[in-house]
Amino acid sequence: MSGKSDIPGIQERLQEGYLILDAFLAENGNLPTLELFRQCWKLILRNEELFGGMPAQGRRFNFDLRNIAYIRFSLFFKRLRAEFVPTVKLADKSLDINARLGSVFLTMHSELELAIVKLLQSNLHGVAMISAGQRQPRQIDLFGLSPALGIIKRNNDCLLLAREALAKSNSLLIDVDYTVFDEERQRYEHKIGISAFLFAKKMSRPLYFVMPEINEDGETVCSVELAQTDTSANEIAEQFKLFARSRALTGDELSVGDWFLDTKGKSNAKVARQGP
Amino acid sequence: MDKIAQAVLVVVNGILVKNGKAALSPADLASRNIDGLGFDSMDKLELVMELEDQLDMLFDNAGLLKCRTLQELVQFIGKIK
Repeated sequence: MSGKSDIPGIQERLQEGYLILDAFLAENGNLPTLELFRQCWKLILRNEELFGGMPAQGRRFNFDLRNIAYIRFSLFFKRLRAEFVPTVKLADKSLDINARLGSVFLTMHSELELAIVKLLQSNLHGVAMISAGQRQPRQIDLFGLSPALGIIKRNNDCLLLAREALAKSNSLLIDVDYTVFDEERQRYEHKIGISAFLFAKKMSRPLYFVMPEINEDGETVCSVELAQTDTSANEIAEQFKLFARSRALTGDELSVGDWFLDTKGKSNAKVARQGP
Repeated sequence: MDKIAQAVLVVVNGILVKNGKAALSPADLASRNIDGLGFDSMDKLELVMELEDQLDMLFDNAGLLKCRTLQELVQFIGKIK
């Protein structure tokens, strides 16, 4: 399964998938929770028709379709096994993010932001996240986030609140990408906002790029890279683009933009749901 | 004009000019709404951090975010100075 995201239609396809899964679960329900989840996920991956044929036109985001399927299936699975918490781990276990409390983590929309929060919390970080809206309680419950995630609503005060969160030794997670609809080309243009990079530089905190990916065992594996910040915000943005491209997480040609100018500060305009 | 009002005017005008907008006059301090300045989140952060540097103070967000006008901002800083 390698399709890219397009949200409409996924629910119906998952419903088809649930029928297959129901039969599988009836036969394998005695497996331990994580092993059962792993086997179910492999079953889902083998059934490409559940997710194939998604139209590419008109989509705003370009993350892997698996991410949406993964979250929805995980929520479904949690109903069966309440103790289930998705496994999240670092791709490079030698990286010690625990040593750097109060860091800034930049990522892109993936539907897996709460998995990143889970990873950071497991390393004893208090975490705040800039978000356009409240996260679904079911998703927060899915990852067993504790202490409660601090959500900073995206608006033109958000970076002041983000600074306050950092001052309290929280780490901060920011989605840096957004999309704007290009009327002439009749498609969404995918951008990364310069404000997040300016902010990270101004805060003089350790800055990490982070990208989550679901592996074949149904685990979220986070690639994390420490950014070089002794340079301009534009240079840091270029580093981020290289980081994203190297992980082939987007086929888009990302350009650097100003979210506020592009969207007139409307957090619920026809743009991505996050980005200060 | 007192030191705080002058600092606010200088910092606000610095950001406005950087954004290609016209600078304010001292008289504007009494009437202008902060949201009407068209500042984004980065501009607001710069405004606060620059004022903290110039006045050698630290502001708390709770009080700061209640300020709707530049005059209220001047008064807020004056109360904690």
